[in-house]
Amino acid sequence: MKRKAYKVMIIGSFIVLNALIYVSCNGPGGNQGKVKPAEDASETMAATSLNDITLKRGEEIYNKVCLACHQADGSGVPMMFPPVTQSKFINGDNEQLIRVILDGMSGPVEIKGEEYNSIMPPQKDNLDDQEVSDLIYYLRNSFSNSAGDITAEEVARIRKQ
Amino acid sequence: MIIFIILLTAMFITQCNPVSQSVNEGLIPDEDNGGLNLPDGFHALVVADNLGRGRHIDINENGDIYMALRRLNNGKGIVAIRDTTGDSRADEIEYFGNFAGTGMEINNNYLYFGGDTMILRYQLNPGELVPDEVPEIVVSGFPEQNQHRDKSFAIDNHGYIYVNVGAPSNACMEQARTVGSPGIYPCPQLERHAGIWRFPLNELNQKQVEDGYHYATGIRNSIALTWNNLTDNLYVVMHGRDQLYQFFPGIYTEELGAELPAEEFLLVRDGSDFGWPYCYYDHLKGKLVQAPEYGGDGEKTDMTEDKDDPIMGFPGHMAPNDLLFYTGDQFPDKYKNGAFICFHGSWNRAPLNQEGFFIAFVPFEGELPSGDWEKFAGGFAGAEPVKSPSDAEHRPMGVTMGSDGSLYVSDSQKGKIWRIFYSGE
Repeated sequence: MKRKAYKVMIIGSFIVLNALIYVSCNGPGGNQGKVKPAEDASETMAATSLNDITLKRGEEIYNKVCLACHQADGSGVPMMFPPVTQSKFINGDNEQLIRVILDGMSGPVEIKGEEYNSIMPPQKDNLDDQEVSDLIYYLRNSFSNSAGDITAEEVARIRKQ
Repeated sequence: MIIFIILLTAMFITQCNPVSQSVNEGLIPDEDNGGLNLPDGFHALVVADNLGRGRHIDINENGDIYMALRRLNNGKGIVAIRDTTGDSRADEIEYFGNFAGTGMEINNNYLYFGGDTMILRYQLNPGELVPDEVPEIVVSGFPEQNQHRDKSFAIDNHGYIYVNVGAPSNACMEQARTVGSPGIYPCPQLERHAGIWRFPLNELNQKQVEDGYHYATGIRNSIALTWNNLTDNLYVVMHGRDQLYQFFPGIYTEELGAELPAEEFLLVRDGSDFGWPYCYYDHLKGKLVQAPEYGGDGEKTDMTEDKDDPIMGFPGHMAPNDLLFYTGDQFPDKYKNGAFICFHGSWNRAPLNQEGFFIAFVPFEGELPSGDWEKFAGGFAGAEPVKSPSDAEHRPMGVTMGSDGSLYVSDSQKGKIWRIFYSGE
């Protein structure tokens, strides 16, 4: 090989080698200790989207099934239907909440200092386990409520009892 | 001597001048008319406020006002109000009675009261604001029920009391308030509910079944009912059924579900049957229509042939809660013998705005309306539109007439009472 060509080959290989090293250090799998903003952002976006989707599904169920009585702002109807805002039923015991949604409720009950004595119709034939879970997710993240998630499996377990 | 005669004559003239019936001298309205919007020449003042969950009211000949409460206030279910200074505003307020309820009417020195399962009467004693503490039972034995249990009533001038027994359901569905559920046929609730029972007024300890006369049927719930003394018959404004759209979305749109069915104005005769649950009144079509629970599709009129039409239909769900025929002389002529109706305000028109929260007026000629209804008094709800009923500051609930022809109106949110009067300017 001529001397010049040989030099080009060495320098070229050196460049390619460096490029390979650079790529392997900065692509997936490499640089374990360093922050990789591109990849973390996409993971975070995926998680947010799932919450949003669940919230949207739950809201649709609320609007279709619950809104007529409990109202768009969750305030209920004076002396007839209790509010779902800051509600002990929504934020309280998981099993009790699942049962109220599945089986309905009647008879005298005091909620936030007001007495109610009406009928809440059962939804067990109307909503499947996932829909109840979505609805609870919406209720517990709206109307000034705050409580943990209830999975569809948990709903199924209570429904069977 | 001449001066003395002149003075004496002047004194007599001023003493003997009758107070004009149509112009209220000396009655000072609130600057903002208590927040109400009224026709020209009408004014209002607030008699009392924050009395509790007000229901029907009545006023004694001496001006004492009594209001039923739907929830006990410190254990008491009736509030009594007296003005001692002559400015028409409450000076004495007393609570009594251990039962909450709706119906309230004074008759022959008794305060008749509609509790949820009984009609009671309290003995009024001349000059005393608070009646005897222990009531007597006029009628009991009404079924326990968890909706439409409020007992309203009307007293005629023949010694009878007419009691509303509301239906224990929305539409007699096989599965209560469930999407698409058919209705039970025949509807067993018509036997003890969904109608008017008549009882002799002056007998005690009567029972619904043994002593009641089943006067009319097919009426879902009549909180607003009254006896028209001029025409000598019973009138009701009925609460129509709910949620046509939610339960039958294939037949009704959201808009139709908000507008239908009509709140029906009924002339109730002995034996009337207004069709609930088998049909409802569609005021847009001007006729009774078969209910979807019984096979209706919004158009069919099966099962309506032998049912009685209303005399007028109002937009749906506005919740008529009291009815009064105006017999006073204070208001302008057009109001004479016409009907005032308290529309308490809807809860189930969402996602459309809620409607109602006003007093309507219907002119009458004899037994029937002589023209369209109009809004008489508004502004009860405060800020509009009302999206859910909790937004409404006040909701008109009960109406009665004072001996001078003023109207008194009660509110169910806070228990405010207004006096509405006409002063001609």
